[in-house]
Amino acid sequence: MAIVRNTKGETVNDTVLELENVSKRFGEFHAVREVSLAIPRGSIYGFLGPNGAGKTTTIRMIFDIIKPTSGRIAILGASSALDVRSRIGYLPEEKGLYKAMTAAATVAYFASLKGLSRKAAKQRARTLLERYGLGEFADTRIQALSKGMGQKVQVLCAVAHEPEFVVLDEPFSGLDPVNQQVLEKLIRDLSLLGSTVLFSTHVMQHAERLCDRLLLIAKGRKIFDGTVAGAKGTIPRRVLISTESSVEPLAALDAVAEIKPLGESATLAGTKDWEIRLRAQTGAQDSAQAILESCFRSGIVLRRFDQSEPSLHDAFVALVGAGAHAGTQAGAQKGEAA
Amino acid sequence: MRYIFLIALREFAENAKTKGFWIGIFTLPLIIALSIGVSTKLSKSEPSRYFVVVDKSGAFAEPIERSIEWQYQRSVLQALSDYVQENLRPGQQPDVDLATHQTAVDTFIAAGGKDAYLARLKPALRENAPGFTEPTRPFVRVDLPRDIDAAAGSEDILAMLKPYLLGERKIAIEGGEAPLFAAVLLAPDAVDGATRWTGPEAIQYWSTNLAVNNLPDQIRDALNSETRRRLYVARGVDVSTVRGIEATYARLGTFDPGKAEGQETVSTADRIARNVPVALVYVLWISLFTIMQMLLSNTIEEKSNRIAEVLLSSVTPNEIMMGKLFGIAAIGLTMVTAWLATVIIGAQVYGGAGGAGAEVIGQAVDSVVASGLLPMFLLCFLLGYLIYAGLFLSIGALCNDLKEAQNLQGPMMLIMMVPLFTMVFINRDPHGTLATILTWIPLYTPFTMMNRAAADPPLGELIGATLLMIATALLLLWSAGKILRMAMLRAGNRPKFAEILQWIRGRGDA
Repeated sequence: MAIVRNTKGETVNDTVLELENVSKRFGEFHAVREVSLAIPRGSIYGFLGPNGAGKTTTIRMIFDIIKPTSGRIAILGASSALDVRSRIGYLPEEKGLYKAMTAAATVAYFASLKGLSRKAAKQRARTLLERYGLGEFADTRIQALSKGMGQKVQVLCAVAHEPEFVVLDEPFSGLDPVNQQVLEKLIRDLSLLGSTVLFSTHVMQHAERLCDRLLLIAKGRKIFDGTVAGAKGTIPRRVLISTESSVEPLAALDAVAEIKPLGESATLAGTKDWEIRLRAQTGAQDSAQAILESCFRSGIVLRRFDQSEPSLHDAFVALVGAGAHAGTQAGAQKGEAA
Repeated sequence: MRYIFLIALREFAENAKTKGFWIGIFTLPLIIALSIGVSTKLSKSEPSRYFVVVDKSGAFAEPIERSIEWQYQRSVLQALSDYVQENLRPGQQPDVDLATHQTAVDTFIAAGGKDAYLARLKPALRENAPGFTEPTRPFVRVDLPRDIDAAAGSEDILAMLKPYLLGERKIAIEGGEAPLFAAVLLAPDAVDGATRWTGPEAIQYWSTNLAVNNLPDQIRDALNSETRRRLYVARGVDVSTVRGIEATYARLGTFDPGKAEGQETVSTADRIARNVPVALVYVLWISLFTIMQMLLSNTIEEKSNRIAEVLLSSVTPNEIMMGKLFGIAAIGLTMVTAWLATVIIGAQVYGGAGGAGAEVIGQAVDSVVASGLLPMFLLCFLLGYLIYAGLFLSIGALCNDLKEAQNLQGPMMLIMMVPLFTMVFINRDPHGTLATILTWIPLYTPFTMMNRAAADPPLGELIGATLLMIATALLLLWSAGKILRMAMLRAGNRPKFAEILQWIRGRGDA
């Protein structure tokens, strides 16, 4: 394990969060099953998964709000988040604030609960509200703010004490595109300051743009943990074509592993879509070239030829689909673990 | 501890910063002061009421008028007594008898009434004392309206008086008109008829307002007195001797064996102090349930607005609970202190006018302070607060919104009304069965103990009840802590009772 020093020059572990075979059961329902992971310091970590996958339950266990049924959690080296509460920040999925408090007082209050002196907390609150476009609403009561503004205030509550490790559960939901950009900037700012950020989202573009690494869970199980490129790499490389002709001749090619019919084309009337999976051994570019040549030779009339890289979205759908088959059928029977 | 302090501070500030809180604090004493002031003012400024007497017997008109006048002089003497109390120079004693028993009133009338007394009292009064205003006459006898022939028969006169009695016509009085309040009709045989209990009434009182009892009562007194006088004369008894004997007024001193030797006399101040427990029970009740509403709505806000989760990532459920308890307790103490301060300042302002009235209030305040009622109030407030806070925190944590909480609160409200209904009875009989039973029901212990405090309850019961309150508070708060931990993050259906019991026993999933 490498020796890393934090901003104060203290020696710190280079892993901010470690989960070891963590499981959580609510009665008969397994919300989280034997999840293990390690989040390296300084990274922006995306936490993905379909609804009811166990993301929020995992996060609540990380913060010691609920206890795991089995397994071990170490956060900044401590076994309980409350021992390091001044060094961590949390934005829950279900957002709420005291309606009668002003924006500045709210941010200051939560910052002071995280160890800042009351005076420092007040100053920090004003600075942050100013920096992220809420300066003129500093003395407005929360109940008078729009939902999006309230959400920004809550994000600021989570990071006002400049935590080493921040968890943001669905920070983008409910924000307009402009404010989503502001939030992306905030996450990058945090990362630049040396914070480690773990955030969950359903919007793959955010994850793709922001994350160094991804953690994907489905039905309580971890199904992927690695880089964005790695996630995309889990999908077999393929070429998508649309044609009215028979694709039989392509099956004989060395580069082609499998041809999957995708049904009638939605955009080009009278044509069918096909996914041609490539063999891993040959280079993608060479394989695509070979397929294209073969099409010309065999007289296959191409209406579309798409050799673009799969998106994270495709990877997500593929991985979650595969995970669903691999997992037991315990399923998301209860809403408690959502 | 820092976290508890921060949470407490926020709870305190959130409530103390609202205008409603301070308006609420000062409305209560204001309403009480106003209602006392207004009712005194109203009773003083009640207009005179006019009545006619149609006396066909010729025997009662004069005694009735005399009796009404005597009663009025008695009220003048009473007003004079109040006036002297307020304006007496400190250390001075009035040299006339200001009591209002019969002999004193007779002496007052014989001496020449208020002018004579005021002349004698003047040296004992403060120099800047305001002038004395005598009360208005509540009842004034007037002659029959001019258009009614006094010589006509009773039936005819009554028929003609009815429009006046019903308010359709007004009678002429000095400087204007007024409604006729009542008519008294006395038949020619009224002297014999007064004591006859069969057949039609020989003496009749007619009025549309039968709620005012003073006038018929005073008339009845006059009739009785005159009838008896006639009977004494008829039997040859010396009336003045009898009257002299009737005016005898026995003196009964009241003493309290619980007070120091030489000071056993029960004074006005003592009587005020004796009723203070009831007032304190009332203050206890209002303050406790005002702040319970705050505690409940704050807890529900944290749950329904999903603030709980952020809080729980920074503080433990116990820290949240303790913070809330301290913050809201501070609010409650602020409220109670403000009320007490209002009473004391009010007494000072009233006392600033000087005089014996202020002295009595001062003595009453001293008596309350010396009686140990205030420490008892503090103890009952704090323990009562913890007991009810345990309940209300649990209700708040279990409900998803205020509406659900109000449904749960319905039965709670009924249970909570009991101390209000019973407080007067307990004060009257502080060691009775009701008082003893309620002492041992933990929800009522604080109120009952407060109420019984002035009557020196047995030490064993005092200690036992205190221990019971402490034990109940601890149990309820401990359960509330468990419930808070389990319920704050839970949304959707309210948990079943069996499930809550499991949480309290520590077998929940979380």
